[in-house]
Amino acid sequence: MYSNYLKIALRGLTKHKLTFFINLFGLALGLWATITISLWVKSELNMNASFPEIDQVYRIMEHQRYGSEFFTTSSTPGILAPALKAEFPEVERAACYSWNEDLLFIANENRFNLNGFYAEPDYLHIMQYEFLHGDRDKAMTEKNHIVLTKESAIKLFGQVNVVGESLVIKETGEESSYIVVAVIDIKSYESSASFEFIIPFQVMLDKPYNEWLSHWGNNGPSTIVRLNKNVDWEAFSASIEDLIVKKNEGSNIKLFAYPQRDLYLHGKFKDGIQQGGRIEYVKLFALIGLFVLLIACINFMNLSTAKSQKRAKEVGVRKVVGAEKNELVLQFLTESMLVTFIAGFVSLIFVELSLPIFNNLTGKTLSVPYGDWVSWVQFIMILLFTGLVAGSYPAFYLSATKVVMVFRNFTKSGKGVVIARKGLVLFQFILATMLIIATIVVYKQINFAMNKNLGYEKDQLVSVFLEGSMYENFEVYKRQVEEIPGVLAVTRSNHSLMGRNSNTGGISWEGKDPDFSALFEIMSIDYGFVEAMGMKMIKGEDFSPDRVSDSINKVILNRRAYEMIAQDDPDPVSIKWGTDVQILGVVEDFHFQSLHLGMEPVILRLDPDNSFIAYFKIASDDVKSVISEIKYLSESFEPDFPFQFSFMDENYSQMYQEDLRTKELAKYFSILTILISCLGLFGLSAHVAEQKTKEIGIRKVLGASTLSILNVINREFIMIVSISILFGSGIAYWLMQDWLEAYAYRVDFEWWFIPLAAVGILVIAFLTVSLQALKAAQINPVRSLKSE
Amino acid sequence: MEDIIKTNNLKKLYATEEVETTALEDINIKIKKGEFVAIMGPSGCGKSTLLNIIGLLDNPDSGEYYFLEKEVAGFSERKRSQLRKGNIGFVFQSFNLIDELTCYENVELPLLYLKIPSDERKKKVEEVLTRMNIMHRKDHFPQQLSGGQQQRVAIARAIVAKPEVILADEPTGNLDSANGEEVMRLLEELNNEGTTIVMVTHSPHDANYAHRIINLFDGKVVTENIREQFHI
Repeated sequence: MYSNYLKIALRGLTKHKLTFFINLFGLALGLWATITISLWVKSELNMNASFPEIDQVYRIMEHQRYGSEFFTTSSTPGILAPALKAEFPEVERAACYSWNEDLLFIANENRFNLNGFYAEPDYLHIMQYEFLHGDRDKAMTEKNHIVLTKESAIKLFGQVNVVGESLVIKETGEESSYIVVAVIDIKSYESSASFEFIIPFQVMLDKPYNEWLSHWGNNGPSTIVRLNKNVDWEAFSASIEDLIVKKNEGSNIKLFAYPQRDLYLHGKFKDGIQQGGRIEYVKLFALIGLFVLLIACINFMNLSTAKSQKRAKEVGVRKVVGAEKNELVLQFLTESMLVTFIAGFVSLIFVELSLPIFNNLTGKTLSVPYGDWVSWVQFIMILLFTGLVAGSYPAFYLSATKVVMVFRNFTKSGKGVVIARKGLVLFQFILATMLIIATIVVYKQINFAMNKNLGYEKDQLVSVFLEGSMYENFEVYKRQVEEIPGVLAVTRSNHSLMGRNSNTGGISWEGKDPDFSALFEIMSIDYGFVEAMGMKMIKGEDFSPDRVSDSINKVILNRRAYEMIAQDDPDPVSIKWGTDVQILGVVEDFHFQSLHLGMEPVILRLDPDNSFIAYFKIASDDVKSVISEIKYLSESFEPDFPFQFSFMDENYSQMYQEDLRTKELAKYFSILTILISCLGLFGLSAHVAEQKTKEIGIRKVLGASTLSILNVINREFIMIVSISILFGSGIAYWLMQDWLEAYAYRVDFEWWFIPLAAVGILVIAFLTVSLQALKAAQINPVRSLKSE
Repeated sequence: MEDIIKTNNLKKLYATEEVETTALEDINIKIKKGEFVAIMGPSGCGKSTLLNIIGLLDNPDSGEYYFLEKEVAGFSERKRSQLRKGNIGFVFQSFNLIDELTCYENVELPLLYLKIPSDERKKKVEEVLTRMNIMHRKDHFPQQLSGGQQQRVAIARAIVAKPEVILADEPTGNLDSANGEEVMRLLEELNNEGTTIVMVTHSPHDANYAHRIINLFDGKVVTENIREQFHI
């Protein structure tokens, strides 16, 4: 019996090629989106979650109180881990580790800039990366130990087993030798960390300029712990709350522990409470994936029920010769399953073809896990679900056809079916409208962010990390660079302008409310910074090399800081920062963080020695050749270090990586949704055109023009699409307002977004339906009436 | 001889939102095993409705219907379907073959639903196709055959499960006279072998093959004629 079902399904597919193609292509597109998104969601959910004993691993984080607001950070004092280990018996292992840095590695004749961090030995016992070579217990117990990843070992030495090999790390003013003690596989567990080496944290602590790391009042490195089995982590978290206050009286910091596996997805805090985070994106895209698949299923249902009149005779005959309802349901489900499974395999081809682009877009290295049987089971489950959803309605609808109906002139679908069919089209176009409007809003916001006046000129601004003699003899280097034609200005700072760097809550002023505290960002700058960056002085003066005294106890504030102080002290001349510090000038506000965040108070201080990022302002004529001249000069000036530069506008875009991804994904999904919806509309209008053949024939005989016949078919769909637009734009307005809320600086939801989307959708829908309508309108009425 | 079909005061109504039409009223008929009965009457008189009820495709609104001496008027669709299987064969004016199946597969269909093993199925289908003289076209699809050939396939399908009754709804309506004649002869032959045949027809010529003619008018039986008498 089953072979009979399959046989008739296969023959049906080849007979109704257009329907088959629309069903197959639509479902394949829907499945493609679902599979791709599933791969991404799975990777996101697994992130950092599969390390051994990860359920015992916690990050130690800080809530810093400023007035009534909390600022939550994972930066901690560099001496926190040993203290936790010594004072809290629940802590089995604890490690401080630094942020990532680029360092120049020299091994044999090879020189590479590698990216990695400093960590205490316990780190590798907490985050248990697989050791390919070396001993976990002995790794990083000495200051000259270094752990490499498999990739960096191959890069430096051309092989993986390099335990015992030595290498040199060159930094400005120093060279240190290390022995490779272990090679680890960073890809052994899905991890959000990206690095090429780990150096003992002690090396960092011992550097004279890192003395600040050993103070309880300063924060920088991260701290991670592994608790003993069965420890109540929430109780532990509560018990460490006041540790920093105990060590550093008057501190505004409360410590807490947070599960490491949750930090990646749930790592966003607002006013001291966990709120949202990356999980929002994961949920959003999972929902979109499901929606796209649903739309594809709806097409299938719609086309199948639309074709049901053709199938009614078969159903009747089968019933007459003895088929029972459940046998017919099974038969129709077999057909939908067959199409779904073919579509499933076609979608795998789509996935393979598109994964490189998708990976590029998401910054991941996803692949289809062909060897993993669990994934296959999941894939089959998705297909079964799709086949069932897509096939259930036609199966139950068709199999319920009354057998006597077959022998009557069965030409009209029941009212319920027609309403359901229209409802399904309505649903599809609501989704399409929502996605299109969302895309427009995201585009507008990102464009706004990219083109906003940031308070400094990011265009044709190049940042260069100063190494070796470029840093040591900066004045000489600067003069030489300035001589290159096309270089307009040269300055330096310690600040990348791409997020918080160094900050203090310890600023006070005349008349300040003792309960009020604010976090001031501190920037070290060199002479000429304000002008070279295109910032605007609104009060007072810039630092001047003509006044030696400028380097001592004088600062420039931004408008935000100045106005904050001026609330208590109108026309302030100084602030208290340890001692009295004179306010030399005020600069217009500028954005040093993403536009998600509001303007923060900033203190600019003259500290050239601490300024290791150079900024070159370049004329727009021939950027490329100017850069290559700077590169040439820099490399001859400091041959040991490779020249590293970046454009500030590109760095700025990097801050919006997530948003840019959202923009790209929203764009692709809108296109996909429209494509699938139109496929459905195309098929359905073909069906309606066919159904109205007689009506069109009669109208033509009575003298109707082609245009008026187009109208007969179009008006039905245009009405549905118009209602969809109404609903879709309402929902989109509500959702996108919410999305925009996340930006401190944002565009308004303009009224014209809706008509723009509406016109777009209507035109596409009109063209799709007209294609069929036109065909119907051109049929010779003699033929169509005769066939009736 | 036993009554294979017997109805008492059968009634069937068709209701739309605005009008109610009586399709059948007070139908009392008896058909004995082995009989060949023709149902005649003008268009819209209820012939097909009666045939649908007799064929267990539809239920009456009131009255009693005994099929194989079992009261079936209130049977659910599922029960009717089970009773229909193997007991009733249908032949239609428009053949009603499934276009996607070959002749062989069309004929095989009732046996599939009766869950007859494949070897036996093959034997039965080939036997009946040979008998209908259509074996040589068994792998063709219905559209590739002439009307007469299609109707022979339809008859093969109706009889392959050896049913007690064959219900034929205008079996020659779409055929030319030669093919029509052949179909009628086949039905007569089946009847001679013991199969009960109930046939709806417009054609007095075809009705002549029947032992008895039931005339319907406006949903009621108006006359019943025995052929021999009718003939003389």
